[in-house]
Amino acid sequence: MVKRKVSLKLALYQNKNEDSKAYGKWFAKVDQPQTISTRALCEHITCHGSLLTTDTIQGVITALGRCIPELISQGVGVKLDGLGIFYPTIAGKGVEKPADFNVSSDLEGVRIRFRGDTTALDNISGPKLKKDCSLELTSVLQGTESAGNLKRIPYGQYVKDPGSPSGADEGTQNP
Amino acid sequence: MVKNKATLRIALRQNNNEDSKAFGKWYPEIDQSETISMRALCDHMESHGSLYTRETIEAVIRKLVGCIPELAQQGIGVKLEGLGIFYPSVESDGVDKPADYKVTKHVKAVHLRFRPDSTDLDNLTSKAFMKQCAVEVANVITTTGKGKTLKKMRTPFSLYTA
Repeated sequence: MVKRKVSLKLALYQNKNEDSKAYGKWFAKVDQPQTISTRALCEHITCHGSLLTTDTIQGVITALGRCIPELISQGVGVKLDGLGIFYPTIAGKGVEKPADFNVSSDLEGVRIRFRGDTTALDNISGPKLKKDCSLELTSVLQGTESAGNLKRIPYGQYVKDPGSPSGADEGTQNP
Repeated sequence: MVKNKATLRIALRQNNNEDSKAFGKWYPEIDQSETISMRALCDHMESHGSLYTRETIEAVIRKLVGCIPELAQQGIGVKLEGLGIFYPSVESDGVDKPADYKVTKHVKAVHLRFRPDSTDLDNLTSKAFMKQCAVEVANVITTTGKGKTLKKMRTPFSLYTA
């Protein structure tokens, strides 16, 4: 599927929750994830040398966005081969006996869930998708976004000299 | 969106976990949820009077399912307007200091996650989506046994409560 693998960039962050068993430990997360729009996706698909035009792709995506929620609202899950299954779940309050259950007050929400395909040919479950990725540690995060003091330090620089993150820039740099 | 609203059938089942605070309470779940295949979805979409034929729809979906995981592998999420956002997340072990972190050892998995659209026009988050559903309590589920021996019996709600 992918000819020249672009790496999945990871950043390390420290658990700062004192109530957590993992307090103080360092974990990885996707570094500076970005999201592309439907239009950008359509252009990406046509760049792959597809016979389909952007407007057709966009039209079908619009129809998908209408039909999948419609089917799910009827309790029908939808499987897109190679991607996964969309299915409904519900959240509700517990009642003492079935006769007490009132749909308008005890039902709290209907959710659209997604589970990656796990069939042999198209397995994109967590451990398998990891094997398909070229993982690269790029940054170490210090501070938090909510406190406004988030610092992104290139991984190589941090590991050489963890005590002085002075030359760190906000932008990502490859170590 | 939906002209003739088909109902979302739910069933009530009792919490039988004695260690749970909610032991003995009855909770709703989707009743006998079914899943349709991609071909059935294409037929369904074509039957909505779409300009696109089943072949075209299937071709677009095949392209989508190739490209979405590919982009996710590069850390790029994809928004399908009116449906939601697909994005990658990493499941990881913790280490004491960054220098100890080994990608091959400590990254356990890369997941493709989905978050329903929450923009004003296409809000599919749980409470807004519930309003689009015609919910009906269809059955009451009673169970016997545990684990592999668990058996579920369905009784129509009206019969059970009569």
